[in-house]
Amino acid sequence: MFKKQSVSAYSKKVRAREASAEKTVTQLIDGQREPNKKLNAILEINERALQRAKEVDEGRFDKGRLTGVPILVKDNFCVAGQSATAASRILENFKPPYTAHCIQRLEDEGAIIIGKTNMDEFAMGSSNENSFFGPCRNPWNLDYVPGGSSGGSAAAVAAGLAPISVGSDTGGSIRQPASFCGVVGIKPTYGAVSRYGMIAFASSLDQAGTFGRSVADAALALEVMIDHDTRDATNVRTPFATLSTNKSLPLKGVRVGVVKEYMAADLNKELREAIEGNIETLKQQGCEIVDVSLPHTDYAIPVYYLVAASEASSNLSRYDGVRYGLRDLSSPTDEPLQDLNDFYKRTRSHGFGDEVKRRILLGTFSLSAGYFDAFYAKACQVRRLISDDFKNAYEKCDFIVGPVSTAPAFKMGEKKDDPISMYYNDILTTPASLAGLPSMSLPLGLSSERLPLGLQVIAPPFHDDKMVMFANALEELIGFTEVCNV
Amino acid sequence: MAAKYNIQAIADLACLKIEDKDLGAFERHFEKILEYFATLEGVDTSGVDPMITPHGIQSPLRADQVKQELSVEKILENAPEVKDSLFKVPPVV
Amino acid sequence: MSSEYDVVIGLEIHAQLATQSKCFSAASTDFGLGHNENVSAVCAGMPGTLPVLNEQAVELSLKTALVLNCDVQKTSVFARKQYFYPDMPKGYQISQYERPIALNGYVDFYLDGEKNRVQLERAHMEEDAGKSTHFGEYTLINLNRAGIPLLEIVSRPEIKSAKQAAAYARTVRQALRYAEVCDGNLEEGSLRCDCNVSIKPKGQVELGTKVELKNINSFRFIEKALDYEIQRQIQCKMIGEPIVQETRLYDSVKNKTFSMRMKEEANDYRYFPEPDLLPLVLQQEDIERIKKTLPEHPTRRYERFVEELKLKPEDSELLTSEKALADFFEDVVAKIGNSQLVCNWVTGEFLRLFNDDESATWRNFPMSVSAFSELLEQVSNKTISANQAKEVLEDMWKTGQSASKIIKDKGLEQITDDSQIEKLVEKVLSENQDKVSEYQSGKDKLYGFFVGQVMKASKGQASPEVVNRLLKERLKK
Ligand SMILES: [Mg+2]
Ligand SMILES: [Zn+2]
Repeated sequence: MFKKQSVSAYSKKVRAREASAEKTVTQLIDGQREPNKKLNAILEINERALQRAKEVDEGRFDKGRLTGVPILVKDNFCVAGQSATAASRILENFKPPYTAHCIQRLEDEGAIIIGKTNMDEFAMGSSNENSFFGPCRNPWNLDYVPGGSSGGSAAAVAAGLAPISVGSDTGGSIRQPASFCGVVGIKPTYGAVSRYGMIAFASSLDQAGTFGRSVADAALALEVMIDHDTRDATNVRTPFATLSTNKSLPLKGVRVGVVKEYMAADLNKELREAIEGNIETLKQQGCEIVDVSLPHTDYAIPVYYLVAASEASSNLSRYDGVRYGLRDLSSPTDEPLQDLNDFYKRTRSHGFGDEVKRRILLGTFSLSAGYFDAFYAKACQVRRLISDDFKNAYEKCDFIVGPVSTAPAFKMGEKKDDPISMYYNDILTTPASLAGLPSMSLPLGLSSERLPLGLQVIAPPFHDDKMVMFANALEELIGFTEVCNV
Repeated sequence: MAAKYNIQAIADLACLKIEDKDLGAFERHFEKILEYFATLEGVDTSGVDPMITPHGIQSPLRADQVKQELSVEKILENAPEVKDSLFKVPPVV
Repeated sequence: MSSEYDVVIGLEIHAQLATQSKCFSAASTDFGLGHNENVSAVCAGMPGTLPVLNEQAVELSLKTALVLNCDVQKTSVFARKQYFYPDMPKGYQISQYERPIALNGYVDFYLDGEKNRVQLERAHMEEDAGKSTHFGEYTLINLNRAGIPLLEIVSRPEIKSAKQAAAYARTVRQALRYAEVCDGNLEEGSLRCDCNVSIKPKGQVELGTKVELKNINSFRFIEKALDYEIQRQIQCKMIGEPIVQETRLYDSVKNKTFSMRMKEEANDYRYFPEPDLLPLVLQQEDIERIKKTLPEHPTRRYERFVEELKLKPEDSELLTSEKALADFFEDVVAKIGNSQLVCNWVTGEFLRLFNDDESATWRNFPMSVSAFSELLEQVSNKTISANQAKEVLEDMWKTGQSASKIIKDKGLEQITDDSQIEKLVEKVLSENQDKVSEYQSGKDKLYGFFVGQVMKASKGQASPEVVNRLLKERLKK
């Protein structure tokens, strides 16, 4: 029902009592059962969603911008009384008594949280294969990964299980799955959306964002989530009041940057052609195509993984089996507990998956005595150089366009045993994350194998509203209308 | 940056236990990653100010006001073990 | 103490800052409440929660830094100090590390009449941990204390004796209380004092192995614990036993220190800048504003009492020990002058009553300046005698009534009026003509009799001075 209708048009109907939220939510909850068996995109349906839909139909949220709009939320966001597992065994039974600020904002505007979506454990992964609850699949082809870490949120929107979903992006975790699943995914400027209540992976990189079938849908939900919150010290007051969700930027004279290093990457042929075709179209529309260079791109992966792993090793220390979450003191040999260290080790070793352990080890190492300077501190310095690269580029251009990943979705299991090539996947999304820039993914077309191809737009910090206007114009130009059927 | 490391010692710091059977795999992964990350060594960062967080310059401050956000029941409801409204752990200290 | 060794002591004082809410969350700092009642999701380190710095914790830290003569750092940075312990909810303590809010500084104080100075290395802000209580079968954890703001004041390792260490710690406490940044209660743990101590052969430059002493909850015990530990280390040297770098706890009952027997493998805390908080930036105008609110330093006040008010050092020390007491003293002096008289009364009768009265505290000061001044005025203009004044003060303490009302009700006012007393003198002399003649013929001893009779006739109210003067005049004739 959201395939042709925009979320704002639907919400208007609900407010005018021309559409029933209860009916919509019922349809979605019933409708997801079969496809979700194949996809494993949704982990939990919110039992209170129907009750809330009734309240919406009673007119209790008639002033909202998202009245009656059903939304799925990645399972690393806290919603009071609902599970929030971050797809980890260590939080399998955790039900937070508080709601993330950005989710509260959606609810305040009348949205209905209908459930929680699958993800890579603690958002660590690019394929959604690292979930304690099993992998999520790509709705365009079930043998393929949906991308990650917000794989469930991307797959669910692509498969029509909800019109909008919320995800989080640390090094590409919204943009890459959006491109693999053929939907729009937006990551705002770092600090635009409060992180309060979003389970941390890497504090200086994590940002909440949205998925939608259209730029306007994704941007509308994001606009609501962007709000100043005094509970997050890194949250900033944005200079824009709205995201101009329905406005298109006139393309004439827009300076579009094409990054030399991105285009020199080992890109999939069809993807390269699609990107180059798009750049050509922009040129025809009057855009000025500018070649720019981000010379430190090659270092983005080491810098990203060192910074993210270091912060994660610290952020995940709180999972210790004392105050909440798993406590599993079993041992294969039934030995009694030896000491305090043993008490922690048992629960943490049972509770975390291998990729999470790998990153905790990497981060612990990178912060440890004797290695700190060469690893963590060095990475923070190169991060500055990466950020400065963008500053220099934006003197010459207004936006950067390019690929999101080097290739469309890969097969499940294909990279599971090759962490390096899995990490390399993020080469085109991590630079913007490190610099804290707003960036998004737009569906560009399908490959010959009918797998979505994505286009990435990266804007200067706090130009989220202009990025959305530019994306609206791009979306019209591209005219992507393909729909997948699960 | 030919870093020497001992996976078990790092795991110990992180309070993780690596089973002997998995040790080899973790070591191989670690080795590959560090080899890959060694490229950073070549970047000239002399005089470069480290970037800790993207845009922040100065911490906002909170007024000194007391607010009870959660009841003690809510604080304890997810705890594995509780006694007398206190978190309970085995006698390992 | 053996003179063959130099003693090297450094103190780390953790002061709990007197805020209403915690360092990084809105939970109350009143940790005396029920188990885990002052715990927010932030204090419990729940997933997705974030710290936001308490403005008042910053103000109080800044004030302390200025009181301790530190170089205030306009930019300071919070870091994560990482280690696992069940009462530390996040697996790390948020603490300033490389860039603390204050560097350097010093504390002046007097010890045995000599002015001493202890140099400070730094003072940094951090959060407190929760409290573990160990029972044989299990351990219980209360997080009420977790996240309470602390300022850690680190001295240079330059303190040379146990006595000097205790005097330094007392002065720090006194200065913190003067500035109202910390209530300085060692028993309740709002002030905690860890001592690092080592010994080295006299004159040796290289420092010996240091031992950290914890769990010292009174100033007396600082001195005793250090004295014990120094002797123990000398003993070790003498019998050739190595001194181990370790943390030892002080047992005040046995007056001994004993090893915590913890694996002291060099802790790797993996400090790194806290990415959830941005640098703390102070403006010069904040520093200037706080400077204006600083009280006179207690040591400076002591010096002023000795030098300007000419009070005895021991009286000055007593009067300046608490700001409320020193303020009271000075306010009374401002009203009635005569600082020595006021000093005698405050250090004497006032403190005696204060110490006997359990409800009297420095915060809940038991007497107003005007009430006490009124009493001392009556003493100084001799309306009542010193002994009577003591009695009046006790009544004032009990009833809260003013000195003048008590004096009036009890009829204690002295008669100083010459004409009134003259009448009494005439009466006594005319009734005792015979004794007057005896006196005048040389029986001097009888003078006391006349005084007694006049006093009796006045019911004890006549001013002895006036009686004497008038009697002498009258008997000469
Ligand atoms: Mg210390
Ligand atoms: Zn400390």
